[in-house]
Amino acid sequence: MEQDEKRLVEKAQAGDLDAFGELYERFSPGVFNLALRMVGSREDAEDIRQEVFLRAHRALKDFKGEARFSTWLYRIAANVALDEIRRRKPTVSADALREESRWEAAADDQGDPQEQLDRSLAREAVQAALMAMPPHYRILVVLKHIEGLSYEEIAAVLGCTLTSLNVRLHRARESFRKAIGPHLQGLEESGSDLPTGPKKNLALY
Amino acid sequence: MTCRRVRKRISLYIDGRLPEDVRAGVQRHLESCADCRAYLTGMERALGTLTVLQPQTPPEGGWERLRQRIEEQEAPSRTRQTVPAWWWRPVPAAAAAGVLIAAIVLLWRGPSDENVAVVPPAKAPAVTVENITSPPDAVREPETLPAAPAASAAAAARTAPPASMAAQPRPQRVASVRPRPRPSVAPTPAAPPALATSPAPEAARLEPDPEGYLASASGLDEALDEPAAELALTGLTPLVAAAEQYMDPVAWVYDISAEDWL
Repeated sequence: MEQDEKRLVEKAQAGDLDAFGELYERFSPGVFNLALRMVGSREDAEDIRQEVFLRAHRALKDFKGEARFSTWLYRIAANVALDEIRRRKPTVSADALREESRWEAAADDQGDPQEQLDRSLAREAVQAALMAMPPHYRILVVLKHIEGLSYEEIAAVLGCTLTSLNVRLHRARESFRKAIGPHLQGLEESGSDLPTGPKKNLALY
Repeated sequence: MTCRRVRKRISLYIDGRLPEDVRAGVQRHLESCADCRAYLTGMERALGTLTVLQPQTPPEGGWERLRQRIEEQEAPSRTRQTVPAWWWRPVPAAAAAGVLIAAIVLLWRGPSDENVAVVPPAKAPAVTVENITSPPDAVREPETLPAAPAASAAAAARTAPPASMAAQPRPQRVASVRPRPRPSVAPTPAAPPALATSPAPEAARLEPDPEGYLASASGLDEALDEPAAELALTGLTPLVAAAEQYMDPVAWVYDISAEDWL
């Protein structure tokens, strides 16, 4: 897997656009999901995904292979997403989140309609809580709990020490706990089936 | 172990990343403290909700659109062969134009500005780049100064030697209107242009960065929450700062400084 990735990167660095396309197909879903949870909108997430790979292609010659390609991409993705949030200062409306939740609900065909509705409401509430967090904490929660990266991987993406990450991740989780707090009781009363434990995005690792 | 210390370690406790002796201490505290147990449960429940956000499939045709953009950028073009690609982005182009206009205004601004005193070449024929810091008569009261550069130039033409005129075609501008006890310190004519080109590494030393969190690998701190303060300290205009970000898309955001308050 890693050798294959390295070979593709080297070919892409040599100007092989098809090899870069393979890297795109392999890693862009993870970048898209990171962006989606950071900005809360599919349209903006798609813009970010494209911008990330455009910048990656421009900067490909500077990639030395000291880190995983996926780590390097996540670093660009974090930069682009945070930059976009800072430039736009977006305030994602409840309607926009509801619209996004409906899009996700369309892909959710498990269980009866009531269960689907409950899950849709849960997604809406959790995304709203994420959007209520400061972006520099949101990125930590997204990398850890949505993308399923390890501490070491997150530290590599963010270019920080593990000690610093321990502190920041705790603060980020505390921020999320406070943000989701008002929704938590409602979620549990609605009977949303909330699975436990973070998942791993297998598309990236 | 106090409740405060235990709660700061809850994250690592949940992830099983505490050293064994610390984990045992947290465990003992949790067994005897209902509040901290409730805190732990609340945190686990909160984090558990994140799992409802399942991975989503991105829109179709992303690679085809991206490939087209890449090929457009790489396509040979007369204009793009002679002008850097970033120039065609609207923001850097506007920034570059703004800097150019600002430079022209700074260089050619007349002496009628409030805080600018003019040294008539007639009274300071020996003022040159080499000795501008020392002439005792270089700074004068505003009311004694010529009203316009044309008048100053005319006076210079009447009294100054031709060689001096050739060396100093325009009046010298200095930064203060008030005479100082030691005027040799006052004239710093190069200061305004220097402000417009302050290098980014200077900003890194000035940046307050209250969270100590985001900083660029190239030395320019990025204060997400206070971009205006950061820009004020750097002396960069927002457009110039935006242009700089386009120049290096990879390396400018993260560098979390070491900190351990656990």
